[in-house]
Amino acid sequence: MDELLDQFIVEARELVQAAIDDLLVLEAEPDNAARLDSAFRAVHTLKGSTGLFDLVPLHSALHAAEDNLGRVRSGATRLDAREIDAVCAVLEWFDRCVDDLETRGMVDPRRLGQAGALEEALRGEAEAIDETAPHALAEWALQLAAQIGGHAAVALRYRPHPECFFSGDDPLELVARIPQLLHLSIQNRDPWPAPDLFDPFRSNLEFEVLSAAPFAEVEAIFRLMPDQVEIVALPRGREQQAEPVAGESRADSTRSLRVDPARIDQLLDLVGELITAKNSMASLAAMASALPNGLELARSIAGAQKDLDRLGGALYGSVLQTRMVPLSQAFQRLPRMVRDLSRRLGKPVHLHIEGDTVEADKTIVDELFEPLLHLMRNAMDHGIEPQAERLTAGKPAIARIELVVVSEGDTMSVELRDDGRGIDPALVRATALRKGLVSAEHAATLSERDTLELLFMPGFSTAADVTDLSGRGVGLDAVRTDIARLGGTVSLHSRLGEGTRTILRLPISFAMAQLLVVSVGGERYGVPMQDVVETVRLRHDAITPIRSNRAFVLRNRTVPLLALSDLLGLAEVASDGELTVLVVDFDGQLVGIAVDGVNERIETITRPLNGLLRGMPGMAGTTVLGSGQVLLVLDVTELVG
Amino acid sequence: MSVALGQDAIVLSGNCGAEEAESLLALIQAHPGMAVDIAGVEWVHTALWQILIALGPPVRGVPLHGFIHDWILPLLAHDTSDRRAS
Repeated sequence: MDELLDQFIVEARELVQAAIDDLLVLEAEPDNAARLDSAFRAVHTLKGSTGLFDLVPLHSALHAAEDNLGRVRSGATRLDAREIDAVCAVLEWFDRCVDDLETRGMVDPRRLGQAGALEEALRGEAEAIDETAPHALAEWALQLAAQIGGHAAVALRYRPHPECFFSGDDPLELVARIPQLLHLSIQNRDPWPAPDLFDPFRSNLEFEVLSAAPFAEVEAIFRLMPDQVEIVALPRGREQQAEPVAGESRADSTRSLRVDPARIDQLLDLVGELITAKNSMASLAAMASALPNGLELARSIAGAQKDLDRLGGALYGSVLQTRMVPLSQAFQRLPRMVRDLSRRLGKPVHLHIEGDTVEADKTIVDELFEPLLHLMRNAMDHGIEPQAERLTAGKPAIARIELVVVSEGDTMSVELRDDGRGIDPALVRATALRKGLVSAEHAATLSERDTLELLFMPGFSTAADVTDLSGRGVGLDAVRTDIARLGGTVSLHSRLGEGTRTILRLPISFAMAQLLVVSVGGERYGVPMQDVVETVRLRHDAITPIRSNRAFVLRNRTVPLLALSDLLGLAEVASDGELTVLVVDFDGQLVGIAVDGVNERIETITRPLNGLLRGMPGMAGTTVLGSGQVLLVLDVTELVG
Repeated sequence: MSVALGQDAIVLSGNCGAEEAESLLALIQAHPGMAVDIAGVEWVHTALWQILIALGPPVRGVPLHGFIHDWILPLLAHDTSDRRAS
């Protein structure tokens, strides 16, 4: 694909998003002139960029959308929900056209066919508006003034009647009388006919004029033909207020060097390998010190290793820094979605987002979208009450959902609050009982906090609860799994009748972690050091069978023993000597995991699974070894649990 | 006569009214590609400008009228170059 088109695709996406963001803000704040200008400018720029390619229907639909926004901008109409819908529909359609362009280099002809209907939606409204405000400040006038600049006070569009030559009019003679002319353009109203069909006595011209003269003077010249001219007094001080904003859409401010994330990942892999390679210097130093008179050499190597440590760490930090993106990237689609849900459910909601400038690693930000979407749907579907119920409860009719990010050093909290009905612990207990997730005795002993934990159990939300919105049998357990994969936690707090808070705590970046490389069944896996309390060697006779299970005694505690080969479904390598056992702390309970051997410790970066590996149970992520080999890193908690 | 056929151009002169649109059109159609010389015009009616804009013959000569010079000629020049390009 050629570069121009690539660039167009990237920019078009940004502009569409910027415009939609603006429109959604405008829906809540119809008087936000800066956002209106920004939306208008984004649509205008989009329209312009389609001109580079042969995308006529796209151009024309955007043009119509621009007209509508222009009318709002000029004060001729208010931006109501219908108007926003119509413009958003064009933008979303355009977004899909861009998808088409990206995936197959052309827009699906069926999609192109939708342009007409979209434009009709825009125009339908536009015509109704024209009737109510025939002489309002028009979009063309502002656009003209914006293009030409200067100190125009009056914009004029003159469409002489086709038969005007017969009545003795000389339109250009009238135009020539306009004082302080700043701009004149002449266009044909209809396409020119073939030269032999040309009617010299029929006017087919249209004039657009800007003048610095007072409105009254210009109006006086055309007083005999009010039906053929639109004269617009341009707002004073327009250039001071509107132009700086109009010159820059919000997408411009985000422009910077674009780098394919894959290249950054490659860099990160290399840094990881560098750090792993550096680890081998420790054994070099040890070897050197064993040489006769090798102590000095060993010291030098150790010194060099220290330098490499520092540089490697700094390099790692810098590369990670390039992957940091603001959370707003994960949030940007949420307002659209909330708006859409709010309509479909008939529950008016105000979404308040705070702290979305906090930055986190791109993978974390990307992966955050789905869990957030799910939580947001839950809030809209289950949390927020229907309006009537809210009013009865003495709550504001418009519900409030807040999404608040707080940076906490290396971690951040992402909190979603709603002021809905909260979660009824009794209902949760009853549901869990009905689904057989807990026994009646157990349910009776659960604290309120533990009861909410039931919501995270797989199977709590089942197909029976599937609604159009938050169903599909994927419940909070999926959210927790997603967040845990990113190294985060989810907690739920609720007050009946007052609302629900879901707090996600996440790292902002992937820290360098110590891994223990273990071998089992002829394969090698990484185990995060933080999970391992200690490693012990056990003789076979120290293992006590307990029914079908096994256990051993460690410092007077009985510790259940599992085999990693069983957990992974691998063949157990029979060993006649001692067993190597990793002792892990599993919520305060020690568990032993037998492995075939412990190879080495490495310091490396673990990255969450993606692609085909994603969702593989018991795996925390992958890391690249110095040899280039990919090592799967185990999620011990998930494996054992 | 303010619309006439000269040696190598169609010549407009003096005050050209709307009634002369037909003869200008006929001359341009009869002599495709021939230039239209407007150096000697005082004023030209919109109907004639419309023909020059629509058919785009080469236009030459700089009339004295300030409005024509400042505002109409640039449009014609622009228009003719567009036509050639397409």
